[in-house]
Amino acid sequence: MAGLAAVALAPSGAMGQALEALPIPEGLRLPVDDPLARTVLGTPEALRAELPVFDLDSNLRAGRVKIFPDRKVPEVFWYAEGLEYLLAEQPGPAPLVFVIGGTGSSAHGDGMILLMRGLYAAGMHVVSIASPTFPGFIVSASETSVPGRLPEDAEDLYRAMMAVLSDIGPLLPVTGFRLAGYSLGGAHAAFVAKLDAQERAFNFEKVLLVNPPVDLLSSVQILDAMFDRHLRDDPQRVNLFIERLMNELGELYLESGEAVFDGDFLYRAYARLTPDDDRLETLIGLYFRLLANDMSFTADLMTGGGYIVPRGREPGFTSSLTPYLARGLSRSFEDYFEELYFPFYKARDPDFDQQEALAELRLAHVEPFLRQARHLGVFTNRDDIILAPGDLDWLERVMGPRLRVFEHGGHLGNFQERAFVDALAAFFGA
Amino acid sequence: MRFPATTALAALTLSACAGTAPLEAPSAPVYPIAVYDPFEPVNRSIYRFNASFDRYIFLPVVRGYEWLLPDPVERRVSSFFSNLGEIRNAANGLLQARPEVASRATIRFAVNSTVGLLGLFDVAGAMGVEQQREDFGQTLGRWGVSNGPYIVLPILGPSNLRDTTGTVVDRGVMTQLPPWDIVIDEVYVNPAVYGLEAVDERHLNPFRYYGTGSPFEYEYVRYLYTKKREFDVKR
Repeated sequence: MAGLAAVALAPSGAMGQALEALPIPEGLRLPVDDPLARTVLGTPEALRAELPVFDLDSNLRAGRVKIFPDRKVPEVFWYAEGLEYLLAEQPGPAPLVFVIGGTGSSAHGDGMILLMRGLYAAGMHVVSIASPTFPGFIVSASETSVPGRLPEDAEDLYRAMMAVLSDIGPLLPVTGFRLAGYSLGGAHAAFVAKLDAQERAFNFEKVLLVNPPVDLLSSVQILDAMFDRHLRDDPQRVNLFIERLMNELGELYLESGEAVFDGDFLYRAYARLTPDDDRLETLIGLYFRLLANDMSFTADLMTGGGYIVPRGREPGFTSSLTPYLARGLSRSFEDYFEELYFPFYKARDPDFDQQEALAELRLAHVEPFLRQARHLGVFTNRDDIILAPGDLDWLERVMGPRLRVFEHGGHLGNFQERAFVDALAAFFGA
Repeated sequence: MRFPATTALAALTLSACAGTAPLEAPSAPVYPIAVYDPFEPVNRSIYRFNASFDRYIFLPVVRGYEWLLPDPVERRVSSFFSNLGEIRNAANGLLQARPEVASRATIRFAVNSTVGLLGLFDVAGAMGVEQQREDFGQTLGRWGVSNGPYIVLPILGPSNLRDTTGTVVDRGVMTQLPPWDIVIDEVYVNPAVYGLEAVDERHLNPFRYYGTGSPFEYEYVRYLYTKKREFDVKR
């Protein structure tokens, strides 16, 4: 969504660059060890690695594959023709690594691009695959269009990866396959790796899970709570929160003429606004609520409605979706599981067992595989906000020396950090 | 997801803004993302048309342009049209009774048209005199004219009644007056110049239709456009 922000606030004249940087106040301690701030802001400049850049004219290709060519799609999604992917190509023969995105991420989200650059620096061709929770994936690549069931998501991902590989074609000199995934995509990577151990289409040489949830349901409950604690069921508070933030960011824009919301702008905004933990939590909660809303609305519409969209009242491409956006704000990830996901799978399979279904949302579901998969490793942060108490211990017990724990970074806040980028290169044996 | 660039945007996606009215019945929770948009069905059709036009015609042409010309040449083209825009900035600075804005645009135009080789180089910018864009929509806003209904224009994209009027004045009425009429006679001698200007503008604009992947992109764009213009008027 960064491109959108850039446009919306860019001076519309020719010279769209930042005019002048706002100074960072003397003595301000940038939040290296604040997990909420790191989750929002990423890596402070002083800790950043030099990462290669991608350029559509040389090393980056964008593609699109049709997985279910005969699928009829609701009119609202007329634009979602196939699943998009990116390929960052090395100049010569190299291994190819697939990267699975985190919750709601497309193939070209900001986090995805950052991780791709780190992996590219380690000397591999890199292919990005959207998260099964991304609306475009739900519409075009998910068999049931109800994402979150990790074993089924894994089959969808596996099918998509094979389609992407055949779309890339035989001319790319690939010496072997690897797999990575971050956040929810990390959990997906574990299930895909297990599937590959049976199917052997790729024979992944190495698999890396970055900041995975250990239990998907408890992770989304943490994120749901961040929204509910501050903004629950009260449009007025949502309004006030956004209005205040918007006006403050607008003031910065007026002052600096700076309009591209990259990490550095946000750092300066952070320095100026010095948000407390409550505000950061609210921001993270709101961000994930909007992702939950995108996912739930898409899954709901693809399966005939009843959760957000009234059954039998399918909107067309000229219909206003604004009421659904508003309605979705009061629906959490947990609501999605309880009111759409479980009923959907129960209706599909009379033997569906809710306890079993809950087990499928945990990494523990593939614990025997994780224990013996020597080619599989996990990176996480001691202060990752999506880990519940006990999760880190579980990872340590199951993964042993194949677990690498970074002290700081919150959730995904260290993709650009030298120590992280070096660890990527070491893991993938560059 | 990684937060940095997306967070602010996510946060921007809903909010109250002046001169807007909610679309929903009073009983439903009202989130202020609902910008006043009485022509929404038509706007959404045009949004869809724009997305297709972009994908099948506009962007392929822009990519051809980018492939054909080296980056430094593209920058000269941008700089050239940006310099012509100073006439609009100066005129609107005057109409807003802000002599400092008008004189800044005039100085920039004078320096860049001469030392900057007909605007090919932004010499004034290098000397610290930065561009401030002002258009007639902003001028109307400055004098208290509210947005009016949100409008999606064919090809040009997000606008509202006030800004559409502004565009018509900037590109219609003002081009009849000096010094624009001279520029039109001397520079826009061929329709291809308008084409080049349009291609340059699209080249500079990183927005891609449906690039967010969110089913609510129309709402987000509508809100961000409205909020952005609100700040442009204040600027």
